[in-house]
Amino acid sequence: MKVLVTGPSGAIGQYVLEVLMTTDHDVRVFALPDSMHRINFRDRIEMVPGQLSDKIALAEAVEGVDIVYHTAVVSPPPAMKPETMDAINVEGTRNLVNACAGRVKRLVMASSNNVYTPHRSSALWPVLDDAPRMAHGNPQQAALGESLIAAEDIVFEAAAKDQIEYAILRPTVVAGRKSQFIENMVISILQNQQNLDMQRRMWDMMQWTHGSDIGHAAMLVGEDERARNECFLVAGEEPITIYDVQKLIWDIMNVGKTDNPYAEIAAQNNIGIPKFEPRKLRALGWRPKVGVKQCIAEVLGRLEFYSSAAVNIPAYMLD
Amino acid sequence: MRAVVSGAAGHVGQRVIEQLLDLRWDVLGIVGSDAEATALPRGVTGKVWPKRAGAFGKALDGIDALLLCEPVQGDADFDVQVKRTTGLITAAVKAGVARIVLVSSAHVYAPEALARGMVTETTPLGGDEGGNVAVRQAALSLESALRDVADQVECVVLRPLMVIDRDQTHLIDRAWSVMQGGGATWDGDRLHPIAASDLGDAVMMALRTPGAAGHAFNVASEQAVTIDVALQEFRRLRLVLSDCEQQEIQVRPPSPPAPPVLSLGKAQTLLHFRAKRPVWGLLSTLAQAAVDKGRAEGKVDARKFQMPAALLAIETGAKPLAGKVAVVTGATAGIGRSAAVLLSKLGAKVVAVARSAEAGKALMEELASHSQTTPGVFKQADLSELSAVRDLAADLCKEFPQIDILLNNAGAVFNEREVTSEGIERTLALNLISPFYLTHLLADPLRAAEGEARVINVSSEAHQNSALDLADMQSELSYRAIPVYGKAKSGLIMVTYLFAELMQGSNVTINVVSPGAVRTEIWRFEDDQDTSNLGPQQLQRRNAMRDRMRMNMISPLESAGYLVNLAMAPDFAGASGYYFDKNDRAQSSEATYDRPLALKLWRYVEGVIEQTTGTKITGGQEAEPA
Repeated sequence: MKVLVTGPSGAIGQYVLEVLMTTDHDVRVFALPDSMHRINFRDRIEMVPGQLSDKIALAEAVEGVDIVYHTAVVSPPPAMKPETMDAINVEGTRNLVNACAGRVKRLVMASSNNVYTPHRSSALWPVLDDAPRMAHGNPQQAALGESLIAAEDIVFEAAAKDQIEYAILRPTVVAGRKSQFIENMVISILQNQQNLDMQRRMWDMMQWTHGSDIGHAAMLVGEDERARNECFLVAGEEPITIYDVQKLIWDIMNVGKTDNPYAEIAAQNNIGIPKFEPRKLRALGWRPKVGVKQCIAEVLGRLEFYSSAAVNIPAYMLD
Repeated sequence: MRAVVSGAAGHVGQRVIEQLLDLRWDVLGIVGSDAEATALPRGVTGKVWPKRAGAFGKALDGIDALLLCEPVQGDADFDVQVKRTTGLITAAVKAGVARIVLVSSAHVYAPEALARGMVTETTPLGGDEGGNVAVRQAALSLESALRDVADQVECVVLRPLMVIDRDQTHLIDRAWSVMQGGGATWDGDRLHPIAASDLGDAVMMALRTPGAAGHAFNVASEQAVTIDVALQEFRRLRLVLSDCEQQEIQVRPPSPPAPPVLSLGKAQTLLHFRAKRPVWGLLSTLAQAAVDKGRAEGKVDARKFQMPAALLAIETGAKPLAGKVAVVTGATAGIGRSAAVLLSKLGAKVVAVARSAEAGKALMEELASHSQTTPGVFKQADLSELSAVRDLAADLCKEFPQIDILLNNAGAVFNEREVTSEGIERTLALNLISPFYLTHLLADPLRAAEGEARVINVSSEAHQNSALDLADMQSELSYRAIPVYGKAKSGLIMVTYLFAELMQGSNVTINVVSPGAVRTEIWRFEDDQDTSNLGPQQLQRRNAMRDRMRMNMISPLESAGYLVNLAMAPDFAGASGYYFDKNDRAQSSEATYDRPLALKLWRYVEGVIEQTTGTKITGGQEAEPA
């Protein structure tokens, strides 16, 4: 079987690629020309350079492909123009879907739990796979939500016309090698240990999912007949707040000690019931394997590596 | 490797089976019914308890482990449980099982010891009086059955005090009664529970730790809580878990630590087992299940996402506007286009009015081709020309005897003063006179609508600082784009209030809405400004500021959602003569509530219309507000 991954160097795409390397599929990736050097396993895959607005490149990319893993969507770094998000998420998906229509068997798309209607109140938990969607938040967050909802709608529409079948993944906070969000959170906690209150309201309850678990979820929904034309919430098992992150950072950095000064405040802030319940994925046999502590340890390890003397960055690069 | 798991459909059993499957074990799950057997995960063979205890036939051949994962608690018939489990143990030993893990109960300990707390595994067992006698007897029988075979197989016993999951109805009922103000019905003064998932992990550790054989272990979450604290927590959680509108994180008030009932040191050192879920999470799990029970009984408000009716209807595919006609002006761009699409998704037949035939055709094609939308009709008209408004209205009245929704959305800002072919300043003509005139001309089909007909006029926040100036309505003395636009929108608000008075008692409601700051083409006049005198840096700065401003505006789609919601949601039924900021009732600027001025404006607009088109609007008392 031949599969295509769009966005193969992204937070989700690189893990989809990684998991695909454990299968016997022929893998092709569709990548921006200037990101090709960041793609892993280049000796084992076929690469089509291009961008989602390039219909000719897309046609070449989907040629002979059975499953497309569409992870080339953006979630905004601070200050991204809504037009940019629309151009990539909406028009890009539209072009891809048009290229796939009638040719590709299944399209697996990475969306986000951001598409769900506001669900901050714990009275609404657990949020399930098919909760209603509504873009919300400040104008920038709403613009992201709208673009993803519009992208999903394009996929639904194509499926309603029998042009493709789909499976949509809606992950919550993505952990892993390219998670700016978690990296920033860990750094800000390390820099300002005593003052998490201002950050707390923004981040609320989280259920991180590691990229490799999302990769496995993508494999499951890509091929399982039960996943046809379904949307899947993807969420880890541990509900946490930023205080839990702080507590776990302390645990990791103080191996063997048990007098964690942050344990009590973390327990007080954590109501302890999950916000998201990925029922459909669980029914397919998906279980997240990477816990929150490991996600944090990964970030801490990376930070330590970059700040350690073991890295000999040439002087000219430091200027 | 082959394992037999009893209680395979329970939460403990499920957790154990998940991990066994991960380890590529071959699993036979013993369950209570055929339905449970079919619900087992893929790769697990299900078997219902045999009628005669221990009569498993060849099913147990070649097993390596027997994991007895039915907690001894709740309303189960313990006699049956003991009998069939004992039978299973005997059969498994015959089949040559290597290790048996039994989930027993900490109630095997003498009740006095449990009351004292810090119970270790060496505490004497038994006692006939006090405590939970039925559970103690059952658990003791199970343990003694295991002791009988201890010389032939490796046995491990786990002793939890209270196992919590969402299906423990006897615990949930108690939590619910506490939430309703009832008292505690638990034995002792402390709770020291364990999550079913954690107990499952403990079972797996008991299975896989070589040195565990022949031992019994207490298992529980790390902390205990006193009953008093638990009751407070349940009552607090009832509020937290039933209020769908609260947005804040609810912080649990601090409470004094309670000494544990069970001493957990042995499981920690020998099994390396520590429960992951803290006791507070377990209370929340029970509380959530209890609140759900309350919902089922109608005693707690239903779970309700805070979502406008229009968007919810679109999400669920409902068509509340099926068979209705909605006229949208300025329907090919910006808010109007999004509104037209949303109305059409709600089932309405959209009559789209706009200048550009090309854009109109594209919109109609979109409405006709999309599976969720309803085909509409396009009418080309430049609404800043009053003759065009008149012709359009005549056309619409003929074609649509009933109109249910009129969305007077068309509007524009003009950088330079322009005059229409009829000699009216264009901002005024388009933003005020045209919607006024169109509403008048469509009064008959609106009145003819079945049920409520809603007219929504779209105003702007720009009206706030621009009071009407009757002396210079045509802005001949001075012209600045935004204030002139604001004045026209002020005027629109004022005539809307008068219209509402006029329509009182009829089926027509009319409201005016400020759609918020929306990133649409209406801001294009900025681009038209002369930038030739700006240097590259200034130009870049200007563009950056404009981009930032745009990023903080809402999208046309969001704004259209508010308009469409006003036009159809039951929440606004009968509301008329109001100013809405998005979907909230609000006050328009103070000047717009000046009724005498509004009446003068009304006559002025009537006069302009009469002069340009020859139409006399005021046909007597009922058509003009007194």
